[in-house]
Amino acid sequence: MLSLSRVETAGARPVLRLAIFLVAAAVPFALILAPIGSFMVLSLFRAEKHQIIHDPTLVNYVNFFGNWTYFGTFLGTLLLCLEVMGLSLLLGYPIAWFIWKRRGGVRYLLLLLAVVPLFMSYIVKLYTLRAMLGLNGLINQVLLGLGLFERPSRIFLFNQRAVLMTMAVIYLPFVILPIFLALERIPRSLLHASTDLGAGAWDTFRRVVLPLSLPGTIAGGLFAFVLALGDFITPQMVGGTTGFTIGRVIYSQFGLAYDWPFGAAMAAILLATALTGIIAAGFAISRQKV
Amino acid sequence: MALELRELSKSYGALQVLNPTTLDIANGEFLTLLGPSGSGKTTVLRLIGGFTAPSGGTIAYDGRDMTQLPANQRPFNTVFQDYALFPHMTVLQNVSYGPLVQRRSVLSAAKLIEETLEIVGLSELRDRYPSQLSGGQKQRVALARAIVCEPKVILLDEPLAALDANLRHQMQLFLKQIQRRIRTTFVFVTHDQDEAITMSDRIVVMNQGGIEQQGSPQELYYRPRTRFVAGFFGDNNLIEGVLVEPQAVETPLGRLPVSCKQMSAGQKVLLSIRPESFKLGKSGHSVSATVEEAMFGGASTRLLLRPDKVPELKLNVRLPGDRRLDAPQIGEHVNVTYDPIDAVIVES
Repeated sequence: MLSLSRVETAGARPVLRLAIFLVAAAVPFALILAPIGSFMVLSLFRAEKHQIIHDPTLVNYVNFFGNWTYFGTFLGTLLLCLEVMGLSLLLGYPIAWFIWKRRGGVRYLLLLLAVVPLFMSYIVKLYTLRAMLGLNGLINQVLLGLGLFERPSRIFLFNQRAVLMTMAVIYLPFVILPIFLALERIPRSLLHASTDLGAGAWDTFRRVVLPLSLPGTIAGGLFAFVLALGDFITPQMVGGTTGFTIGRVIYSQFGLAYDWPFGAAMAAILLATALTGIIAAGFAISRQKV
Repeated sequence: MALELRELSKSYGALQVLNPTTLDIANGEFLTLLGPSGSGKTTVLRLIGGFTAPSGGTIAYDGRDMTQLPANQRPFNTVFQDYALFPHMTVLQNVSYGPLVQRRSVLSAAKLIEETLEIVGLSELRDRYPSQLSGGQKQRVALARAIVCEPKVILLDEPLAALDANLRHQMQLFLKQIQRRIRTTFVFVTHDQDEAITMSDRIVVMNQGGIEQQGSPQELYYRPRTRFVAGFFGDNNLIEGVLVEPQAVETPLGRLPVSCKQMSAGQKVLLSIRPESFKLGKSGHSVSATVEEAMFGGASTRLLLRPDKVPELKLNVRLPGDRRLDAPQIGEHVNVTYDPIDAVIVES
């Protein structure tokens, strides 16, 4: 009886499975893959006098790599994103570690506080930070109060440095969370074992905690890097004239310049860069023996 | 006495997990803390290791007070229940960890590490990661990691609990051999009475945050002093009764002879007779009963008997294995008797 019923359902199952698979696959295909694909295709056309010429060409890519204005901005953006990643890790790791070291309720309260900015509007956060970095902002006030500056300075806003600081702060929750989770996964007994074998706090951190939290740290850094790479609003809001990033260039191609194919080509390059970062991080994580 | 615990206690708020406990552990001794979960045995181990601060009392080694010394400065090392091997390090790196963080000289450490790997039989596996090892192998790494630090005392927290029965027996033997070879004091925590009996020089039975009884395995096995200890070591038969004359107890099963300490008649007592102390046959004090269950177990046959006088009082009897296949069958009527010396009064 058992084998008979199996035979009966065997015919129906694959069809049903295929149907479920197609439905499940249709959503990401329609919402993610199809738009990206259409962009890829678009990047192979060219625009002339606000008209898109449907004639396959690589001229957009040639222009991008051949023109230092664009390629230089791209490399500058990459450097900026790496700096954002480094800065947010430098800020985020100690915070995550500090939260992890707390006990009981305090710990989850602090964790909640760390991720609360995620619930706030991006624009609100940007304006807040802009206000803090500005001429009468918190930073200047503190420095004046400490007597380090004689008069308020403009160096904190509308430049590349402002973009760096703002991004690092805004992406902090994305960095803190995976690091905290990685720390949380370390069994307490490993820390006990390290102490038991004679290690002090620093040795335990350096030889046990840090290596074991590395996957989460890489993931957090990757978040910061990829988010920074695609961000064009932050540079626009706090970057001024010198804080020009490739995101802003792409944005302008779809607006002012009205050269969609060129914008699409640059977006494709950005996507490839982000993917490279993700793959590299994935490789680094998989090499960890945990 | 090398390791001395004096009035050591631990409480969390109002919850007293360890009553003031005094215990001396000799150099080179294999001491087992035996008890059910919540008995305080692991707490004692954690207090010795320095992972928990005592609420009261002191810990001293060779007369030196260690109570306030942090865990990383105590000359004791722990083998953890879940092994706690560093997953990102090879066997060799795990074993080298202690000498490394203690800043031992490289040359002497290298030699010691080699020897230790040799002792525990891990030389071949030195480059493996913990995830590539079996349970028994992990166990060896954990032990090697402790041994290589040359501790005065090795603390073992239920190290065999996660292993299957066969491997556990192998590891028991192995641990015992290692201990004899390196002559280090072992403090071993377990809830398994067989493990305690086979391995220990001395067993400390713990219950409800205190020491119930301590002594050699033989003492605890044959001369339990409390109902708890008698119940903990195997399926002892515990029979309540009243002492009527110096060498006999009046019980529901009749007047049973005992080997007795000085006690006055008329006292209520608890009598303990081990299952293997019974043998088939009649005597002046034999009990007649019906066989309710009979289980052949190779080396012995276990019987569950229903005495004629008090059917609800079941007797556990273990007869030696017999290849003549004439062990009593279920439903059969038998008489069992015992040597009075095997009947112990455990409580009064």
